[in-house]
Amino acid sequence: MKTRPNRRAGTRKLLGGVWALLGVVAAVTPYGCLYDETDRCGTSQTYDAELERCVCESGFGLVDRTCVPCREHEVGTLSGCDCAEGFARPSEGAACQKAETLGKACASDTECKDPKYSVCHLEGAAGYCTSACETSEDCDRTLNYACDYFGAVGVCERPPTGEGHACATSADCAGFEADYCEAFREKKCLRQGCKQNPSICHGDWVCCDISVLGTSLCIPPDALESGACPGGGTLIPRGE
Amino acid sequence: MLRRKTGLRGLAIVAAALWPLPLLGQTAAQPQAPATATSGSNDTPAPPVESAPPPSSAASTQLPAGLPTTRRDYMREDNPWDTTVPSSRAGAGPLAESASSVAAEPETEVPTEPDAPAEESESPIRIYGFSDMTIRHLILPKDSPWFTYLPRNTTGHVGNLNVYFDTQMGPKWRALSEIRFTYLPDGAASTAVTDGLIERGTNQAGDYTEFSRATSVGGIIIERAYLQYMRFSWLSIKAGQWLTPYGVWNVDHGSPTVISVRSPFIIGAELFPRRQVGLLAEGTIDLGKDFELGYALGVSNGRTNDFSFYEDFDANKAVTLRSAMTWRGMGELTVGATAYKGRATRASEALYYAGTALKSRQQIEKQWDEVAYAIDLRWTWSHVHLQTEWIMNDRKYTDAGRTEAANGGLSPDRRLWGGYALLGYRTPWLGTMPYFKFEYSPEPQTQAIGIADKFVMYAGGLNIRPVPRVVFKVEYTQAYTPGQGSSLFAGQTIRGIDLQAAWAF
Repeated sequence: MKTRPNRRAGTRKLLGGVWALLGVVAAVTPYGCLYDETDRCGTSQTYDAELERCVCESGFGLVDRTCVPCREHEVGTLSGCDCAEGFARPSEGAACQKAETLGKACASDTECKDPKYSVCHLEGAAGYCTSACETSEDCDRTLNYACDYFGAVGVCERPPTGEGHACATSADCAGFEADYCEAFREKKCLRQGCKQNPSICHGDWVCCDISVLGTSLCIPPDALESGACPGGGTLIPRGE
Repeated sequence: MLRRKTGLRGLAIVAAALWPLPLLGQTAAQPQAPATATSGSNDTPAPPVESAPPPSSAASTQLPAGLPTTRRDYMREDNPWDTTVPSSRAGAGPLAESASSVAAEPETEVPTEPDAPAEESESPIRIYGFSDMTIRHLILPKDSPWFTYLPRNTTGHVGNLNVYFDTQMGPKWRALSEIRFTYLPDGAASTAVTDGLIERGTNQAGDYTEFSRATSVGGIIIERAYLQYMRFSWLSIKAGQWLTPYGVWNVDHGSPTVISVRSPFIIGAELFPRRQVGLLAEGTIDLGKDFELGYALGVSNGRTNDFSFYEDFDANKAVTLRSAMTWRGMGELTVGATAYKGRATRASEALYYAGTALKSRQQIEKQWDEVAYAIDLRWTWSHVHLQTEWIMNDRKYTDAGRTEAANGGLSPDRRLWGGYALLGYRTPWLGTMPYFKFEYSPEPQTQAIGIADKFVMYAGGLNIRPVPRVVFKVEYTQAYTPGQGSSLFAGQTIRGIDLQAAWAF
């Protein structure tokens, strides 16, 4: 008989404790949750579930960890805003304009009116206006043009599309001519597949067959280490 | 009726303490649970049995009215294996009045606050601490990428050498500092995998007393340093740097106390900040013979590790809140809950001109708002020990503070969660405890470089305590990372054997 009051008292204590804990929970409730699975990124950003990251929405480029709107004739990338196909910047930082000078589409030299870029360099049926050169120093380095001096007359060649874009995986380089992501060192898009035809490397860039990566890559000549390809790769000479 | 009133009073006090939280929460802070009811492991290496203190009842009768009559865990958390009464009682040293086994018998009552007038309650500084030595052998293929983070060869190391400086400065005043001495940063491996090369740094200096021979120099880590004012059993205030009082093993982190060889991953993942600098109020409220409610409320600068221990880079103060209920009806059962809200900011300053006037502005390097919740349970009954903690953390970046992601682009907001459970049984044979531990934990460091997301770990071992202050541990661990491709780090199961000796001094 004595145990019943004790049990009741114990039950009351337990209930008191439970109420106290509930009070704490109620007090904590305003903390709420910050995580919204459907909205994991910031302003003008979208979530890339495959690579678990935020990227800029279409029309925005990543600049200083912020997605900024790209201007007319620009496309957004992880490195900022680049000129759209067929457009170029007359100078670094300038707005993209239809390529009337350097890079302007042409079929013959007569279409290249700008005396500075009076050479129509043909790649197959299509060509673009550029300049003659003896070394890459003669070319527009800000736009990554490089001198192809392997022919009778040296000519400044434009880089493959996407070359130099920041990347984490090759998915970031998809759709570009430079469709391989070198993710170990530079984390930039490079053109691959030059082993069979090293001349696809623009200008004075060289072709290295890097077996550890399972592909061959076009790399700038200053990336050679004492004249040898990095990563134990094999230098593929040009056929010309 | 009396007990009922006590319980309601306790509830009222807690409610009053928590009422301002929503306002504070707008600025971010983390509350700390009163270590009292929640922290402290029964497996803490206890002081020598021979030097057991007087029975609690006798001790409590000596206490002035209004002071607690039972040993509070918030004292034990500070030095879990040291059961010395932190007062001038008999002028004893750290061992002289140690309770026989707070670890084994947490219900043992020992006064924790001064029981003498002010001039008598002052004490000389007491110095004590713990250390450990571990031998690790990993069972992995010799070309496993995990060797970039883990020792390739069977290796012994001294992991912790923590020293406490403890002073009772008056009847209600106490100062405690805990310093970890470490070999770091000498020889530390870089933590970033950028080009596949993990280099080790050196921290050497020419020793002018030894012909300027190169000598490796280590460092210290300030675990905590605070002044404590213990007004009532239900109100103690700490000012300084304190360990966030969540769960069990963040505060009670001594290697002789932790049953397994290492603390759970979820603790190291810091879903709650490990340490904070600010004010912490905590205490316990007696709800009756078998029930006790503990709480903690802290306001701080916010995260410290990887940010700053001595400057808050945002105006937002972090709030920590903890409550825990202890029931001693069948052994000792403690259930606790902790919440934290804060903003973490790392920034630099830049000068600029506005016309001819020199100005400055803050440049945010990274910044996010976060909330974290934790629940914990610890039950010791007879020789059985069950302990579990589960933690969740939500992080939402500000627009200015979103960091670059490992896979390019920017880091998304995230939710991390995980926990562990440990079950052990203390046998009478040399105090041996076989135990089994399960862990499911995120690992922010490997997530940041994109090589692994979560870890699942199973560990089993023996915790042997031949004498109260010496613990030997033998543990086998198997870990893997779910949901990752086999070509990455994650595809490689980690197996290892650890031997550890840990001791309190």
